[in-house]
Amino acid sequence: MILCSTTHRILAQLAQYQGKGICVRATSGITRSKKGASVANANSQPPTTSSENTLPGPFELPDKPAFLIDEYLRSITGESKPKSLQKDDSQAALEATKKLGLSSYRAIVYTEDELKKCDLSKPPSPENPHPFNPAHIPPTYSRSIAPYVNTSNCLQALVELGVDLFEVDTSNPTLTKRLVRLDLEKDVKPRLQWLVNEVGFEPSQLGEYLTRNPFFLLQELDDMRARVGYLDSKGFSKEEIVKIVDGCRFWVNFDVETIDHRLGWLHRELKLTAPQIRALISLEPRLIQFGVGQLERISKLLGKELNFRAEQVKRMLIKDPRVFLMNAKTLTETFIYVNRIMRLSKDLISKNPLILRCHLSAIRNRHEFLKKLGRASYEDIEALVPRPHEPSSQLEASRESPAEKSNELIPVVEMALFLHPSDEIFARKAARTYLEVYNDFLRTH
Amino acid sequence: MASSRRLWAALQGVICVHKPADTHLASLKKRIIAQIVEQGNQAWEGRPPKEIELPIVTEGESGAIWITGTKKQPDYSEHPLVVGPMLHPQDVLVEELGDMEPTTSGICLLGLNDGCEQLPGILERAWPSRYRLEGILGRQTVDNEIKGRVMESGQYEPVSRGRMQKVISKMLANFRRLSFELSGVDAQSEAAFEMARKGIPRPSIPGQLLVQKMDLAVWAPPYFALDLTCSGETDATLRNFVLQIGGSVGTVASPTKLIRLGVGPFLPEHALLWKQLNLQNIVRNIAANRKMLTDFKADQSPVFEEAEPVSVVKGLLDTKKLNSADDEEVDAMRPYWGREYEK
Repeated sequence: MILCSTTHRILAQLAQYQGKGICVRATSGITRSKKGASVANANSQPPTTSSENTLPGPFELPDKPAFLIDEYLRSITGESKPKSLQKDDSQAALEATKKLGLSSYRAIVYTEDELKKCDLSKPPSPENPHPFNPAHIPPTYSRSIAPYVNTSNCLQALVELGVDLFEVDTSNPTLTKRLVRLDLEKDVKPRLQWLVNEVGFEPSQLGEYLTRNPFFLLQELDDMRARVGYLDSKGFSKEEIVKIVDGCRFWVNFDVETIDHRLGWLHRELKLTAPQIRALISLEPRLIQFGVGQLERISKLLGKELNFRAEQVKRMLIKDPRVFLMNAKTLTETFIYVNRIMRLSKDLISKNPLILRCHLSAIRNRHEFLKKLGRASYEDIEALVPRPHEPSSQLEASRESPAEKSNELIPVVEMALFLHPSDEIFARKAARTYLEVYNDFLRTH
Repeated sequence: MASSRRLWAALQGVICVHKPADTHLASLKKRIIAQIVEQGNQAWEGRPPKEIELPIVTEGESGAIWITGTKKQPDYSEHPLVVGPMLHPQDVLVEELGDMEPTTSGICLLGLNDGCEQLPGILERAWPSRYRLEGILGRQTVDNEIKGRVMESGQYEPVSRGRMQKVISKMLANFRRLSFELSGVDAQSEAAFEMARKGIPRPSIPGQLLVQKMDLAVWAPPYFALDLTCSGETDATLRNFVLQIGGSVGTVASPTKLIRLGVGPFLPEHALLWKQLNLQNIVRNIAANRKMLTDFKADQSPVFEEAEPVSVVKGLLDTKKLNSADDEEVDAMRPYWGREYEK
C-alpha cells in the first residue's frame, strides 16, 4: 500500500501512542459491526510497507508490556513461539486478563480520512479530534471503588450527596461491583426522588442513610412502595414512617410478610395493642431488626429465668425497648448484680429498665462508692436473703457503715440520680461529695 | 488545625490507663483507637482538593471514538468519602505491656504506635507491681476464677488472724529464699548478707514470680485482702496464689477481686480513666510518661531497693483536674445502644 504524505505525518505523530492500542488499518480492510463501530477484519493481513512506515502492532497496554500476556499464553499452551491475541484466542485472552489482572480492549480502528483531521500538536476540539488514549479508561479490575469515581456521574453524584463510598466499599465488598454499574437517571434518581417526595426524607438525610443502607439502590421501587404502604395501612403517620425507615436502616429491604410476622409476634406474645405497637416501633424501629428469635430469647429470659411478671416485662418493653436488643448473658449478669447485690426489687428495675442496659462496671463502681460512704440506700430494696455462695461486692460490705451503726436516716438515692450520665452530678447529689473524690476512688478500684 | 506531623509524632509513646473491672482489654484498646481516629481526623490537616482534566469523548462517523475536548473536574479519587479519612483504625497500633483479664482492674501500660518498641525494655526492668488481692475463705471456684462456678466449700471458722499472719510470713520467707537461689548467690555468703540489707535480689530469670511484700490489709472472715508487691506475675498466678493461701490455713479460698495499684513508678494518679480517654488527654499522658520513663531508666542494681516511687511533679500531670469539663461529654454509665431515644 502506498501511503500519502499526510498519513506519513500522522503515523509519525502516532509513534508516541505506539503500544497503546491504536491500530491503523487501510480502508479496504474495514468491516462494520452491528453497532456501526469499525472493527478490524480478523482475517485481513496488515498491508506491507517499508520498514520506516511500520504499522504499530496489535493492541498493547500502556503500563504492562504485551510479552507478559504472551508469556502466560505460552505457559498454558506449552508453545515455544509467541502467540498474538487473535479472535480464536479470546478465551485464553480472557483467562490471561483474569490471571494477570490486565485489561484488554477491542482495538480502535481509525481510517485515514479521519486521521487527516488530527493535529496532535494542538489541543483537542470538535474540529481537531485526537485519537482516544486508553490510559483514561478505569481498570477492569480494582480492589477499591476509587478508580471509577472520576469517570462515573452516578458515583460522583453519590459522593456529592454525602454517601461514604469508602465505608460502603469496605463493609460490603461484593456490593461495589453492582454500585459501579448503576445508572444515575434510571436507577438512582427515581429511588431518591421517591424517598424525598413520597416518603418525606430531607435531602440532607440521604447521604447518611445511603451509607447505612447502600442496598437501597438495588431494591425494586415497587417493592419498597409496598413496604412503606404497609406501614401506612397500619396507621403510622408520615413522620413516624420517616423515623422508622431512617431508624431501622434495612426496613425497606425486608419484605412485607417478614415485617408483618414480627409485628404480629409482638401483638400475640406480649399482648400489645395496635397503638402500643405503633408507639413502640416509632420509638425504637430497630426492635424487630434481629427477628423474632432475639425478642423471644429476651422475653423468656426476663419472664421465666429472672422471674419478672408479665406486666413488668411489658412495662420494660414499652418504656425502654432497647432492653430487648441486649445480649442475654450480659443482661443476666447485670440483673444478678442489681437484684442480688444492690438488692433492688424487680418492680423498681421494671420502672427503671435503663439500669439493665448500663455497663456492669459503671453500676458496680457507683454502688461500691455509695456503700463505702454509707449512702447505698435505694428507693425499693428486697429483703436480704443470705445466699451461701455469693459474697458481697467488696469487703466493706461485710461491715456496717458508721451511718448504719448510729441508726441515722440515710437519704434515699433516686434511680435517676444513680443512673445520671454525669459523674459530677452523681458525686455531688447522690454521694454528697466531690467529683475528685469519686475519681480517686475509681482509680483504686 | 494541628500540623499532621506534629500530631502523629505526639502519638508515639506509652500511655497509662485505668482498666475498669468487667471490661475486656481488647475493648479498652478499641476505645483508645476509636477516640484517636475520630478526634485525630478532626484535627488532621486536610489536603487541598485537586482538579484533574478528563477528555470529552465522542463517537465519530465510522464509530471510532475521539477526544474532542477536555473538561476540568475535582479529583474524586482522593476525596475522603472515596478513599477514607486520613487516619484509619488500622493505622494506630496499641499493645499492652501484659495481659489483663476482664475481671482484673487497675493500671495498665499500653504502647502506642512506636511506643510499642519500648515495651520489651520496660519488661526487662522487672518493675515491681502493687496489687490488692481480695479473697474469700471457705469456697473454691473452677480454675480459681473470680466469677467462676463454686466447686468446693470448706469450713473457715477455725482460721484466725494470727494463723493467717503466720502463713503469710512463711510464704514471704520462702519467696525471699527463692529469690536468692535464682540470683545465683549463696545464701550463706557475705554478698547475700549485703544484698539482704538493701532489699530483695532482682531475679536473674525475667518472668519469674517474686513476691517482695505481702500484708494482710483486711481480715473480716470469711473475707480477707492482701496488699502485694511482686514482679513476674500474671493474673492467673495471683488467682492461684489465693488458693495456696487457703490450703496453707487448712481450708479452700477463691479470689473475689484483683486490682493493680501500681506498676513501677506509675501510680493510680498517672492513669487515665475510661471517661478521660480523648486525644488531648492521651497526648498529654504520653508526654508525662515520656519524662517518667526517662527519669526511671533501667535500674542496674541487682536488688530491688526499698525506696518508694517518687511522685512526678504535679504540674506535668493533667489528669487530675477539679473542674474536668471533658468528663461531661461521656456518658459515665456507658449504656449499650445509647441512652436517649430520638423524639
